[in-house]
Amino acid sequence: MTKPVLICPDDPSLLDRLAGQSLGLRVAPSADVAATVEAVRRQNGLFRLLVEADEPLAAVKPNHAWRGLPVDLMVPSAGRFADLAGRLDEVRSLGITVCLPIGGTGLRDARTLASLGIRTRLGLDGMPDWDALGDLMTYALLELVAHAPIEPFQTIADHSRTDARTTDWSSALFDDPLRFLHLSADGRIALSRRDLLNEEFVGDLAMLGSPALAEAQQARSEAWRQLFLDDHPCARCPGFRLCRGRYAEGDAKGAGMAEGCAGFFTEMAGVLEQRWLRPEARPW
Amino acid sequence: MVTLIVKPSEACNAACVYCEVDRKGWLKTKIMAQDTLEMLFKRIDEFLTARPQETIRIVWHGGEPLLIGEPFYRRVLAAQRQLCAATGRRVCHTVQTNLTLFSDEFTEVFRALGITSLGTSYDPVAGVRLLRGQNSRAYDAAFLAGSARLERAGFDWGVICVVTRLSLDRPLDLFHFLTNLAPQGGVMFNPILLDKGKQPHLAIDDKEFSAFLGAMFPVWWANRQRYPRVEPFHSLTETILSGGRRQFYCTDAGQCADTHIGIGPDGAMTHCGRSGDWGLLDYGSIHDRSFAEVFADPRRAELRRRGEALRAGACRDCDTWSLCHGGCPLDSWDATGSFHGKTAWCDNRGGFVKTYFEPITGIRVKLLEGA
Amino acid sequence: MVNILLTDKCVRQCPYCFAGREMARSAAGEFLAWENVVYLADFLQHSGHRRVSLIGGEPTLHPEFADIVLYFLARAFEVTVFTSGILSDARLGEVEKYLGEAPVNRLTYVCNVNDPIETPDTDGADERLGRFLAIAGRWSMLGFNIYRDDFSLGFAFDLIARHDLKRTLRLGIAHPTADGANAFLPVDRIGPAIARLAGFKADFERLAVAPSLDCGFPLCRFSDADLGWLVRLGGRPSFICRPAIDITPDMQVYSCFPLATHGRASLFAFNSLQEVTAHFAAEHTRIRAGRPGIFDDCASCESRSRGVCAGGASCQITLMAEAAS
Repeated sequence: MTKPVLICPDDPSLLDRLAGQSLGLRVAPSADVAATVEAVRRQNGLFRLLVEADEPLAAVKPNHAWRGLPVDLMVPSAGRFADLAGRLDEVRSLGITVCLPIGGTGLRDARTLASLGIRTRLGLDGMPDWDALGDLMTYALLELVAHAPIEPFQTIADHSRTDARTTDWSSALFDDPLRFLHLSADGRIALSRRDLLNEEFVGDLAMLGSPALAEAQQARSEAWRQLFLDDHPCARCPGFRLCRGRYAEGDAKGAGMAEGCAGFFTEMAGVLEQRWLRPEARPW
Repeated sequence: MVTLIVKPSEACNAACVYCEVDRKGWLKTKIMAQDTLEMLFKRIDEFLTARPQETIRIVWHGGEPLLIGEPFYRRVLAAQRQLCAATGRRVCHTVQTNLTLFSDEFTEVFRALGITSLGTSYDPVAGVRLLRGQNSRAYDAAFLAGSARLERAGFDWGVICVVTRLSLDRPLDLFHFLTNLAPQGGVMFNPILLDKGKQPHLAIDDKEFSAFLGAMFPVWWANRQRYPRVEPFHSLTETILSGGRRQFYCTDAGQCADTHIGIGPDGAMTHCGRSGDWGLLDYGSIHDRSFAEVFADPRRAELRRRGEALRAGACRDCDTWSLCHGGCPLDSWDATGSFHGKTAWCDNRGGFVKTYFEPITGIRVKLLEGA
Repeated sequence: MVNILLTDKCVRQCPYCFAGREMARSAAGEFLAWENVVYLADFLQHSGHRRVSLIGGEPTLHPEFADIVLYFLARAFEVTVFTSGILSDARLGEVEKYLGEAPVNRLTYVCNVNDPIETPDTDGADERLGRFLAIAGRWSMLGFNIYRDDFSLGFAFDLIARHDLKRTLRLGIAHPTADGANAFLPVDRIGPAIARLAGFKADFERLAVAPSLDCGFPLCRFSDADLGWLVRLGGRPSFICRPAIDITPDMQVYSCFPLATHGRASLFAFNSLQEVTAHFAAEHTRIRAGRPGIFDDCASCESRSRGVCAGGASCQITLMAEAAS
């Protein structure tokens, strides 16, 4: 198994214990990125900087130290476009990826930013408005004119194949348990960001590299098979190849599927096929 | 290509309700002996040496072929290397397994045998496939765990689903379940074949099976890029579009007299795997007869005349003849005691084509060359 | 020309309004959704078209008016806003704050003004217009719709001079709606109206204002001297009636307000602006199949047959054909 990337907070006492690991560092917008990156690169590999802001993009002061670094700027929204318009060139020039939630104005903001050449990534935690997400998915995959990638749709487009059973796009959300582990400040390990937030840990740093951790990662990665064993409605859903049962627990009505997800993922399968039939026209 | 259906053992850890392995009335539980295994490869070498253009495919069948363990396949590999030094490149191997016993130990030897994909069996409907002494959920759990190990080891796999009366009202459920589950290896739907009078609650007829396929076919046709290898749709379409020139399955090709031999654990040769299960068409032991002698057996000649007889008789007016050539001769024997009748599953081809394929695809089969 | 209706709401009730009927039938208070703004930018860019006119109703009533203008500018479009110039304080503040740095060559406001004596607006409207022009004058030109042949333009020249506006005065004929219920310039009054316009030559020249003629002016009612005057002042007179593509907040498309019921369709039914234009060009051809122009002698007119003049606006022809039947 490939050594996973550790997504962890920028905590010196924690980083001291992670020598030799590839890190996704969660930092504040105000962090002294240059010093942090230098320190990390001395004894670690830097996968990405995950800058966690609690203000809209329009209000975040871009840090010019981000230029040239793999930065994901996580914001609650893009903010009012009129406030952002004057800073578009600056954001574009930093080459960052703007991460947005699926709630609020996240979907609309992703479309706007992508249309202006800014890479975006949607955090697909929680239940989206499936119709709105479907519109954005169609926009992302069947673009009329070239635009910047919107993740995870870009990864899905790149990795989906006509004959594949499933398309694993969890890596686009840093949520593939085989590739990413999420660490708390005190060094406990979670298999997903959601597990981290729910404080569901599989062990601590002593477990890194152990067969037990590898087994836990593998089991989580293959957990979708349980849906087939249980003959869960997801196993019989035409959209399963793309969702892998991600929303199997999402339906409060007890039918076992989140309302709307089947239609969304089935539609996406059709859209991907349309895309396969089109010539590529993207400059990036 | 010649296909050898080899049963290294007829023992099985499963107890599928429709299994025919013991239909002949006795069950051989022993594992193929070393001298029989070596004789198998001597016969293969002998056959291929005499026919420089020919190839042989060995289908390791059973029983459950993984039940006998990985050491057996190491002996297979050694025997092939030793006894088919010059012809081994023209031998390929596949395995038809229930996958419940697949473990990492098989990985290396299967790779060495050139196996990249395994054929499996699965049925999402409860109560059809069981592990001995356990229920179908135990089978399902073991199967899914095996498939996980298989994929981790980098093998593709295909799955056969046997359609019973219990699954007749769930065609799209089964279609999506299996196409979601099975990777590039594909999915094949076969009708349940039962010994007369057995398991009547599971039995279906050809029209019911045709209707079952017909309910899935529009979905497959509309999304055939997404589901490229769902059978019988893929092969049927390819056969139709080739004007009948391309055939994919022994039951449709009408050529099994020249292509198939079944070999049991003790080296007994029969017509194919199915005839071996039924104790039918015994061509003698591999220790005594060569493959060439088996193909020259007078009973093979009788089977070769079957096509001619059907075209003059039961299939005379059929314009989809080239899709099935009257079907499996064993179906005819099972129903009438003669190999010269047409299959009782006739509606799966001609009827399906007229009722579903032509209206849905807009392709008129009778207009195609040879059809 | 592509006109995007940001909203069907308006702040005025002009007697000649040819959008009123269409506004009344559409869902009241509907605003163009942001997702459709992005779609429209994509659609037009895909069609090789980088100009949009934002209209209404009163487009500045859209809560995201400034955002939409800035978005189209960020997408490298040229933007023209057709407005009354009557904005709330808050919206005027946004225009000043957000659009104060917009490039003058890519953003234009066309302020449709009415004669304050002949067509008075609501109380305070003139004052609000003045405040708007004081802030946005650099980007603004005036537009005036002629619905009577005794109009005056003195007030317009005053505004141009006072606020140092762009030196173009856009002039339109108030066309009839499908039911002819609005105040419009009848065909037989077009000639006198053009003569009236020529009476303001000195004012145009004094302020170097170019008269810009909107659709539907018939070439034959201008003298050669009038035409020379138009050209000399920088006007580029066109006497053609081509489909103007109007896109509603709910993404319906038609060829102009008076012809809103002719060939109306969803924009999503088309793959490009070229397809839309071809669709409505066919509609115009159908309209003119029975009557080639607004005057009886249009049928034999050489200018019309050479394509120099359309023989008046299609909407007028429609009304005349309906009246005749």
